[in-house]
Parts: sequence; structure tokens; C-alpha cells
Amino acid sequence: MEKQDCSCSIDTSIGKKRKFDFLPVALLSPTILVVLIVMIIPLIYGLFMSFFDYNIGAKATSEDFVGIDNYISLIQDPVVWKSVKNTLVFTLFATGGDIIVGTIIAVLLLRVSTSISRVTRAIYTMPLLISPIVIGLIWRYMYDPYSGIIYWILHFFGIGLAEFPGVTGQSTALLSVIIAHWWQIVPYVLIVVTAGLVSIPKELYEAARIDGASEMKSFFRITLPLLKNVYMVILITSGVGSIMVFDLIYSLTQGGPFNSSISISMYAYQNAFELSKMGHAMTIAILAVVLAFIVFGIPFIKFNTAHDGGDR
Amino acid sequence: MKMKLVAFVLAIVLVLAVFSGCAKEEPKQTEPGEQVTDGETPDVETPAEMPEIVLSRWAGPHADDQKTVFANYDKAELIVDDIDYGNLKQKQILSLSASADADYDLVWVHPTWLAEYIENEWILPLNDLIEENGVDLSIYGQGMLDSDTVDGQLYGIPTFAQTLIITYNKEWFESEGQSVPTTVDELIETAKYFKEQGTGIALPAKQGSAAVGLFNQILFSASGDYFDEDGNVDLTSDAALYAADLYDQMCMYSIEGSTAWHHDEVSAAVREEIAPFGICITGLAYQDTDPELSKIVDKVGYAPIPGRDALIGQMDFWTWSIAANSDNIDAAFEALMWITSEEVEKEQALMNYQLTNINALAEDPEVTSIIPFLPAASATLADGKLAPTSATAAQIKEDLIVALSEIATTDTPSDEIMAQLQESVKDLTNN
Repeated sequence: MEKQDCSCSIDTSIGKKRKFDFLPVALLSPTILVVLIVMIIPLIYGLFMSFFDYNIGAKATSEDFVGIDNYISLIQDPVVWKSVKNTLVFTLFATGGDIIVGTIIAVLLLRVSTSISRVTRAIYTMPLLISPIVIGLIWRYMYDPYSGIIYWILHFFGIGLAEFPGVTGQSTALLSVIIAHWWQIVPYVLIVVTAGLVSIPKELYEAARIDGASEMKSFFRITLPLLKNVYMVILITSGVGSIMVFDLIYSLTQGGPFNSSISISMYAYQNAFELSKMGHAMTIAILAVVLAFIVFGIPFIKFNTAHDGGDR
Repeated sequence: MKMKLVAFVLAIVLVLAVFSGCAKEEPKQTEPGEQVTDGETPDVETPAEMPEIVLSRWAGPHADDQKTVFANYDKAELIVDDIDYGNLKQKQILSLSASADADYDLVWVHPTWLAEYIENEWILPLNDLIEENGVDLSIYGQGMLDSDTVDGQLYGIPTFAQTLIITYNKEWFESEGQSVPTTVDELIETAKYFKEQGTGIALPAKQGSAAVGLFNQILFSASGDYFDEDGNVDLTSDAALYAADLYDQMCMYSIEGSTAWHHDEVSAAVREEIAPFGICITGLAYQDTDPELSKIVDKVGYAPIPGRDALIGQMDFWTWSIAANSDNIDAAFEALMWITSEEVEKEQALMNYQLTNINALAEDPEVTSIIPFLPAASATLADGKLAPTSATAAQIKEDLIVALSEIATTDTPSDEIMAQLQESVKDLTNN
């Protein structure tokens, strides 16, 4: 590779005091400001307020300062850990399902004729236009054992409420929420993966075919590795959304039955707005942020570092 | 260098653009809940001297009816900000706790929120205003007024009473040779009979407050409470264990799907002839006789839920209170007394079967003739009891919600679950 000629700038700076370049700072300042105002400051505020025991709407005073008591009660609260477990299970299966189902549909749609795939893709992406809370309500009626379409379809396979309790049973409530989530998010994955698929050069597949590689082998050796960056974007956007899941659970199960589908965000909401325990709710919210950082933040940072280091 | 200068200027413009985007926009002359299209001129101009009173409540058909009635008020423009019930309390608190530019003058408060609102001085005591204006409170039912009174101060005017009653399909009962249960044993026997026939009783057994309402009604009717005489939590009392066991039995004989049902689904199940009977909230009973919503218009029947010791329903209602940070307290008070007057309450009762707290309306022939569930509701509310509203009770309620969900969806004995619940809340005292 030819080296870029940047000797002029190096030469002029030798022996001189280097001037501070304001331009990058000025160009980045709007972004920095926005991130600071809408993300960093609220996060620090939340962290600070997690050391107080106060009610929503009331002003926290020095008398309300409880140190790490909220964190101790966080550790001792069994519902917190149940919600963490549920959230991780939800994130794993929801995001995993999004990627697998989205990829399969995207690959299949690329194989049918353009006119069919265009219409089908447009239909598939319609759930993206609906807000999660409405999706929850739609699925609430779809899961209705007497008038919902789910049980109407399951009926043909001899499956009723006893075999698949859906949102009424502890064992299947979270799965029912995950299915509704797939319906909502798979279209997004479909769009992103399709964009990734069409950017893969056809020559690679032709070369593989000439070398005698099967279609399956081409998929696993060419398609999937080249979709790595696409999947990283999906993991960050859809994955973080999954770990913060609230509205779908709120409208579909309210965390029940017997907290079997409660998520961290749902539990934080209950503490904040139903019990007015803002301090406890703040600690739960901080836990959610930490969890999101561990599950998605660290891998993303690692990925980004590798990318900068020439992993291209 | 020239390019750098241009880029620098562009960057400055970007920064300024961000700031201007964050700047406070000139307020538009619109109100919460009002939809105004840009450039559209309102048809009717509000006279300049007419004050605007903004009311906060939950959205739904009842709110729409209320807006129609409120449009007749001629001393102020009553603007109803009706929002989703799930977000109502948060939005009210955000407005009530604001030191300036509060959104609301009147707020519709649930009794369980009242203690918190009073403690934070978000709503006004009405005694002085009532005295100054010579208002006659004797037209209202004293029980609900007492529930809105703390330390001798009345904090609002109650209305829109609700309670749980049995709604049943007369034709279905007759065809199965069943009669309306009048005792607890008969209630269980009837539920068991229908369960064996493939249906059962429809219950609001979803993890949520509706299930607690049913538990409370059973508990109160067994002369029980969350607390003992000393104010200590006692959820393993004879009455509490009885209530949990009865709730368990009802769940056992409930129609499939009940564990995911809130009030609206239970009412719909009876209305659509999915279930022969159910424990329904009176606030939704108006739909039973609407031919567009109901298949049981001519065959619906109502009865009180029988109690072990007495008929004591969980009384539920809403209270109109004045926001302490309202800019127009006198006009808000005048509007409050108008919207809770006999005339307005009767109009709403006739419009959507609203149960009011006006004594005279419970015996008004015009009202009783069109509200078929009024006798059952009145009997249940006569000695009704409000669910405990303290902060401690709120904590217990949250734990009870989960415990009742466990009772409804597992085989764990109800007394064992109540014992675990008692253990988790034993250190709480009623405040």
C-alpha cells in the first residue's frame, strides 16, 4: 500500500510550538453537548440520587441520605434477582431469535423474484411502524384463549390452553413476550441484514461455487463472516433495547404471573411509580445500566478497538 | 486556511443551532388533550374574562361523556386532560409538585393516592372554602366523605363509586338449573358446577390490583383487615387465611384464561357469553346493556358477592381535589362544586351508569330504572370499606399482588403463601 504524503505538515511543525486545533473540538461540541445533557448528566444524577431514600415528587434532603443502604436492600431483594434472570433470558432469546429469524427471512427473500420480495418485505416491515405498547395490546388479544388468533391456530394442532398456557402460565409467560418481541423487531433485523447481504460481492459466491462449495458452506463461510459488522450493529441496538424491555411486558403481562415475566425496567417502574420508592428504583435502574454495559458495552468496546487496530 | 475558517464558522453555527433547539419555545395557545392543527382558527373564541380550569383524569369512554357534560359549564372553560390510566399518577405528580407553571387546577385522585398527596401538600383542604361559600355537604354520602377526611380536613369531593359484584347470564343459569349464589358455599358450588361443564367463574386473577380488590372484598366480608388492632401487619389472621383460601378455590373453579384477566377481560367474557358469570367491576357494567358490545343485553343479572360474616364490599371511588399550586383556586372550587352537584351527577348517571355519592340519586326513580346493577351495587357499598391507603398498605399491596398471583397459578397451599407473605412484611406497621 502506498504511504500517504504528509511530510509537509510534519515539516512545518518541526521546531515550532504546536498550535491547538480548535476545529475538531468545535465540530464535535454539538454531539458532546447533546450526549452530556441527555445522557451523562441524568446518569450521574441517577447515581447520586440512589444514595437517598425519597418519594417521587418530594425534594430529597440531607436527612434522606442513606449511603449504600439502597444497594444493600437491592442485593437482599429476591425480586431484583428474579428480574435480572428474566431480563437476561429475555435478552438472550429475544436477540438471538431476532438475528436467526431475521437472517433466514432476509436470505430467503433475496432468492425470490424482486417484485415478490419487494411486496413481502414491505409487509414484513409493517410492525416496525407500531409502538411497543400497542404491540403489547395487540398480542394481548392475540393470546386470548377464546377469541385470539394464536389459540385458534394452535387448536388445529390439538394444542389448547392446558398444553400452552401462554400469558396465563408461569412457564410460558416470558416466552409469550419474547414471541411478541420477535414479531416487532425481526422486521428491523430483516432490513439491516438485507442491506448487509446485498453489499457482499457476488464474485465471492461464484468463486466458491467453482471451488465446489455447497450453498450451506458458502452461507457459513462467506455470508455470516461478512455480516459480522451488521450483527454488531443489531446486537447494540436491538440487544440494548431488549435488556431495557418495559412497554411490551407492561402491556402484556404486567410482570406476572407470580413475577415470572418481570424485567429490571418493569421492577424499577413499580418501585418508582407504584411504591414511590425512588431511591430503590434508582439503584435498580443503575443495575440495569451496569448489566447493559457488561452484556453489550464491553463487547462493543472490544470490537471497536479491534476495528481501529486494522482488523479490516 | 480559508477552508478551515469556513469549517470553523460552520461549527459555530452548529453549536448555536443546538442551543436554539434547546431553547424554550414560545408557548402555543393550546391546552393538554386539545388537538389544534397549525393555522387552524378555533370555531368558538373563549371570552377573555372566562378562566380556564384544567382537569386531570384517565381517558376512556367515561372521560368522553364527562367532557360532553362539562361543556355546559358557563363560568369557566373546563378543559379535561384525559390520559392513559397507567401514566395518570406520574403526570399528576409532576404537575402537582411543580413550583410554577402547573398544568392542573383539579385532579381526579384515587383514594390510594390521597395520603401521599396530602402528606406532600399537593392538594388543598376544602373546609375554609366550603364554609366561605356556604356549601351543603349533607347531599353526599357520609362514608365516602369520611374517607376523604384527614385530621378533620376534607380534601375532595368523592364521586364515581365502584365495587365488585356478580354479573351473570340469567338464560345460561336457567338452562343449567342454577340459581344465583347467596352464600359463599353456593358461590363455590356454582363455580364448581360450571367448571365441570367446561367453563367456570370469570375472575380478575391477573397479577395486578384487580385481584387484590377481590381478595379485599372477601377479607372485609370476613371482618378482616391487613392490620391488627395495634396496627401491626397480620396477614395470617383467621380472616386473611380464609380470604386467601376462598380466593384459591375461586381460582380453581375459574374459567381458563382468568389468570391473565383484568377487569375489562372478565366483563367482556360474561358479555360475550364466554363465561356464565363473573366477578365484575360496576364501572364497566354499563357495557352489558349496550347492544353493540354485549350479547346478554336482555339476560344480564346482577347480585352482590356473598360474604362470610356480612356484606362488606371494597369501596372504590374517585375524588375531585383542588391542586394546591393552582393559579385560580376560587374558580377551581366553584367548578368542583358544579361538577359534583346533583344535577351534573344525575346527568352522568343517566349517560353512562356512573354510581354517584349523592344520596338522593340512589333513590331517584329515573336513575334506578335505567341502572340495573344499582340494587346489587348499593347493597355492596352500603357498609363498604375502603382498602387501606397508607404507604405501608401500598407496600403490602405490591407483595400481595405477587402472592395472589402465586396462589392463582401454583399448587402451593394458600396458607403457606400467606405465611411467607406475612414473614416478608411482618416488620411493617400501619402509618
